Amino acid sequence: MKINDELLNYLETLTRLSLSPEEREKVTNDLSRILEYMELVKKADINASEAELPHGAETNELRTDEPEPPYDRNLLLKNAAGKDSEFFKAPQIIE
Amino acid sequence: MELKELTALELGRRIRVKEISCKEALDAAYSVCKEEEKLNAFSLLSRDYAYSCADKVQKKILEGEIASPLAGVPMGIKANISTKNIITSCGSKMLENYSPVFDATSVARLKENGCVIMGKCNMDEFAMGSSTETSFHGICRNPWNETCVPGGSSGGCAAAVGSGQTYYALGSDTGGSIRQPASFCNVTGVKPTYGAVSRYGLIAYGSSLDQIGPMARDIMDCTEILSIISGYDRKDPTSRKMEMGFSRISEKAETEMLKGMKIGLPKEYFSAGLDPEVKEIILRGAKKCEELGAYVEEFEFMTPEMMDCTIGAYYIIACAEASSNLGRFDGIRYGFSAKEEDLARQYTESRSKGFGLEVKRRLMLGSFVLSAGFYDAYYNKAQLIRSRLTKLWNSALDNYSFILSPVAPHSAYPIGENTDDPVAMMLGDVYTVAVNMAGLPAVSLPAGFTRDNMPVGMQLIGKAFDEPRLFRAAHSFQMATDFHRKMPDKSLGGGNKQCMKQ
Repeated sequence: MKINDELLNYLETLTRLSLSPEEREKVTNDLSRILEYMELVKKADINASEAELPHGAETNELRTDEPEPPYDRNLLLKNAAGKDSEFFKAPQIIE
Repeated sequence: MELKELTALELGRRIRVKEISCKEALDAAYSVCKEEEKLNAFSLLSRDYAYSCADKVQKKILEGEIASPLAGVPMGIKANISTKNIITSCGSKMLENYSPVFDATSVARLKENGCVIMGKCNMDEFAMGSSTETSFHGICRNPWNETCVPGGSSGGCAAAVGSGQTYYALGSDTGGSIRQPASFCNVTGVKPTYGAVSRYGLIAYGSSLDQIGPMARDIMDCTEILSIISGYDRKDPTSRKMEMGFSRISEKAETEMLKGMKIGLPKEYFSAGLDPEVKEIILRGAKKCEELGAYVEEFEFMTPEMMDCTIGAYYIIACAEASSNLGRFDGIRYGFSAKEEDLARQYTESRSKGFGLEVKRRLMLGSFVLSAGFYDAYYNKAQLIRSRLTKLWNSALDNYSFILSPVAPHSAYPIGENTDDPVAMMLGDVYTVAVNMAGLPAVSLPAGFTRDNMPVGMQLIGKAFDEPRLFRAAHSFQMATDFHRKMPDKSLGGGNKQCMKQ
């Protein structure tokens, strides 16, 4: 399958990425080759009746719903680029 | 024997009987790190922390407060496993300055047993790679030939253990990322059953595939490490309440362990595409198992069509999960931040500047296969292939105690050889990815060397949660061979693979 500009723009939106012109060329070529290889998956003769949960998924081990002491706020803010004494700071969302 | 040639348990014993102190062991290890700096196996050395830790563990050993066989032994941790107050970068600019406020459960359990963390091991960025060439901290090199890759993504762990810089390491394996670098660097590596080890604190790549596992000189070390880190964790609902019943592997020869075992060799794994030298080494390994009393036979495992679509199915699932998992990196709560005024630009610029190209490519592939119009043809299909593969594996393991196979189609290749060809890089994972998809345990054992003196590992795959029996079989093999004790002697070469792409 060929990756065109429209599809690449769409994938940039989905992934919240913006590729440089050099990256666009490389990624376009690479993804086209990878998807050509992935044709083997599309062509596999296998249908929905074979569907089974992955190993381990049938027995999620849930813990009891008990509250635990929260993390110290300062620790949670420690790695943030923008913060004040209480909150993470982010660009304005609401006008 | 030099200190660096000891196994972790051997060093642990010397520390316990006071032949050597924790500090002396650490001094010696850091000295080897200095000699082997060029390999770039560690992305960060945590000296202050390590010496402080060695001091505390030494006191506890002297006061009888800690009796673990691994107490005081220096070790390394892959850079995607959270260590409290030690930078955990995942080999990425995105997390270059990220310092976790908690330990991964597996790290916490090792700390209770007196581990001494020397530093964080280099890795492919966010575990996306098979050669440790995509790290933000620079490429890692193979200790057996510095012009070759160590494998990946736990290449730093393998290079550090393989060169004697550290005695064991914790890696992670999503599609072969412990086993393949173990094979390339002459190290023993284990990918446990999915659910055997808590993933809490492992920065996720493919959540239904990832497992943390040990890398060390031999399977006895790996057994001890796994007995400490495995077991249910209430912070990880995918960890299982399964008592695997590890008992110490006897130090006496357990060559009896393979007697009567039936080992299957998948016919399709030994056909075109496998390097003839690697094939010869693996078949010699199989022959050794026969000499030790196992019954070894070739069997038809899967159709050529299934063989062909295994890798594609794996990459579809792994990249789809990654595209979701790496959505958390937005430059707000942690990680690289572009500090834009507009929210959408904040996300886009932080991610575009923070991630490397390989990560971007995989995120785009992952988003593509999950997107409207393509979801059924790719992602759903890949999951159906996964269901069938799982049945094939379980059916094979109903007939055989273990499956024996190569780990990779070749030994370590020159740095730069595959960086321009993403499909060639993917094809190198042909023998490892299906094991993750089925959630089974597997070990990579040093099995021999090519004529270029490059290591080759042999893979043994067992039933889910059958690690104790799998490890006893591996121990039998290692009691009868000495490949795992060999260390690089650069004077012997590996000299034919000199080329390195500019």
